[in-house]
This record gives sequence, C-alpha cells and structure tokens, in this order.
Amino acid sequence: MTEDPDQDARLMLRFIAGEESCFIELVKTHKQRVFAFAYRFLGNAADAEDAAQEVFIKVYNARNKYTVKAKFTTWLFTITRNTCLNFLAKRGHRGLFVPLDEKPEAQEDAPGLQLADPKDLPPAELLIRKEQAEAVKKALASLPENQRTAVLLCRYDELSYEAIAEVMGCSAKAVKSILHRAKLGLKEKLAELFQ
Amino acid sequence: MNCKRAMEISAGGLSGSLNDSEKAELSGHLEECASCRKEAELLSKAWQALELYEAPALGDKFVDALMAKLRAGQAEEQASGFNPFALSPDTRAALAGWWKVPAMTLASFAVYVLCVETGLMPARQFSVPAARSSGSPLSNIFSEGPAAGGGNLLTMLEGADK
Ligand SMILES: [Zn+2]
Repeated sequence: MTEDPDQDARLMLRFIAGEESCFIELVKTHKQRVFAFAYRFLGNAADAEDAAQEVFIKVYNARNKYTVKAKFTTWLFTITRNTCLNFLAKRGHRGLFVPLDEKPEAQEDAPGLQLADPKDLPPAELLIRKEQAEAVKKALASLPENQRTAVLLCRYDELSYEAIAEVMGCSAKAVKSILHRAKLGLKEKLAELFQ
Repeated sequence: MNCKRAMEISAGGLSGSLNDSEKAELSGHLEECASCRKEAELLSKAWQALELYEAPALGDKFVDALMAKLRAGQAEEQASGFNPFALSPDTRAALAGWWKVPAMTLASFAVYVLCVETGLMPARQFSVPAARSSGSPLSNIFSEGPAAGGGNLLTMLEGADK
C-alpha cells in the first residue's frame, strides 16, 4: 500500500488528466493486494490473476467515475469484490474449493506469478504448513461470501470497520457483527488444528 | 463480567477498544473461567492461523500483460475506423434498450386489439365494432365461428354491461 494515502488520489487525478504512467504506478502499488484478495476469495491463482487484470481494466475505463471523496483503496476493493462475485457467478456450481495440490497447474496458466521458493523449509515442517494452509483455505471457502469478504479485508488488508462497511455497502456495526460470526465459524472449523 | 460478554469481546476483537478497567475485568474473567479461556484461546489461534494461507507473489509480467490488453482494446477501437456518429460508452448504454419503447407500445396495442376482438374488453373509445362489421380478417374469424364464438361473447358482454 502507498504510505501516503493521498498519494493514490493524486496519481489517480494525474491519470485522469492524461498521464498514463500514473496508472501504471497505481497498478504496481496495488496489484499484489488485489490479486491476493482475489486469490483467497476465489481459491485459485489462474482465476485470481484474470480477476485482478479485469479489476485494473475497470479502473482504467471507469477513471472518470472516480471522485476524490472516496478513498482510492476503498473504491479499488469495491471493484475487486464485485469482480470476484462476477467470477463466482460465472463459475456457477463448480464451487470454491480447489485443493492446494492443484496450485502448480493453475499457476502455469498464470504467467504473471512468481512463487516463493519453499525449499528452505524442512520437508516435515513443509508438510504440516501445507496441511494447515489447506485447512485455512477450506475454512475460509466454507464461510458465506459476506463473512469471507469481511475477514479478508480485516485480517489481510487491515481495513478499518468503516472502510470495510463502505466496500460492502453496509454499516460498520453490521461489519462487526459479520466478523463476530465469521470468527466463531473459523474457530469451529479450525479447532482440530490446535488439538 | 459474564461469559456472554467475555465471548463477545473475544470474538469481536474489541479488546483493543476497551479501557483499562474493562481489560482487567476481561482478563480476570478469563483467569477464573476455564471454558471462556479455552474459547478465547481457540478464537485467537484461528485468527492467527489465517496467516498460513499465503498468496503467491505477482511478478512484473502482470503489468505488461495488463497494458498489452488495454492497448489491444484501444487498437480494436481504432481499427473499427473513424465514425462521426461514434457514441461514448455511457451514451451507448443509455441507448441500448431504445427499441423497447416502440416494441412495448406496439405489443400493448396488439394486446388491446386482440382483447377487444375476442370480447375480453368492451370497445368504447375506438370504433372496433364498425371495423368488425366491415369484415376485418380478425373479426371474421369470430363472427363465422360456432355459437359460443368470440363475436357472440362480445355481444353478451356488451349486453350485460348495459
Ligand atoms: Zn466464562
């Protein structure tokens, strides 16, 4: 994330005025967050990369609808969430959960990805981490969409309740209640990891 | 502090917004209530465990691919040639359903005529009965039909109306 939040707005205004390099700078700054949200929301890298591309194409084409009143990241996450919802709808009943084993194949279709090299970890620890990550992925995928969105924005993007509320089109109080239910759900689903 | 409130605070992640005496009250409750302590611990561990689900890193190829897509879109627009009647996307969207207005008008009129002809609706303002007597194809279908046909039904309804 850009350190100065107003920096995003300034870049966006310069982009609207015709400086395309500012758009590229915004993409470079936010691409990982957008992709990571889509990856955890949709459950696979290929779809997430496609969704992230679509998000920035929408930003490019909708630049004239951006108002400085809305914080750039809030606007960006609203577009990201809607794009992910469209992907889910298109995917229909194929469902969310793709085991992590399928990741390498999915990533072959996603040329923009660079994987962290997991070789530095001992095999036993790697296996445990993989199992735990799989359990977390499953638990997240099993949450209702609004709970999953709230968790992703709160836990990984550290958005305030107010910002999450704006993205989700509800009140901050509703966000608190959604997160409360999500945390109880995750606790139930992940309890066996800690036995 | 009761168990319900202790769980609300633990699951709501509200401990950060508590004042010192409330914090002391919560930790006091967790110290003496094993059940809440266990729940709070599980909640915290589950929340912590989310960090295990890492997303791969996107490389710079992402930006190149994106810009190539945007350029391809622009090239496509230019290749379609200069069009003095070219509309902005907003105008195109606004006009996308223009045909619905005349289509709905025609459809409503067709339904009205059909209702009048079949006798489901008495014709008052339009001289449809005159058209029937002049032998329009639609009215012929009914007037030449059996006794219970639409023409008779219309007459019966008109009679009942008076
Ligand atoms: Zn208790």
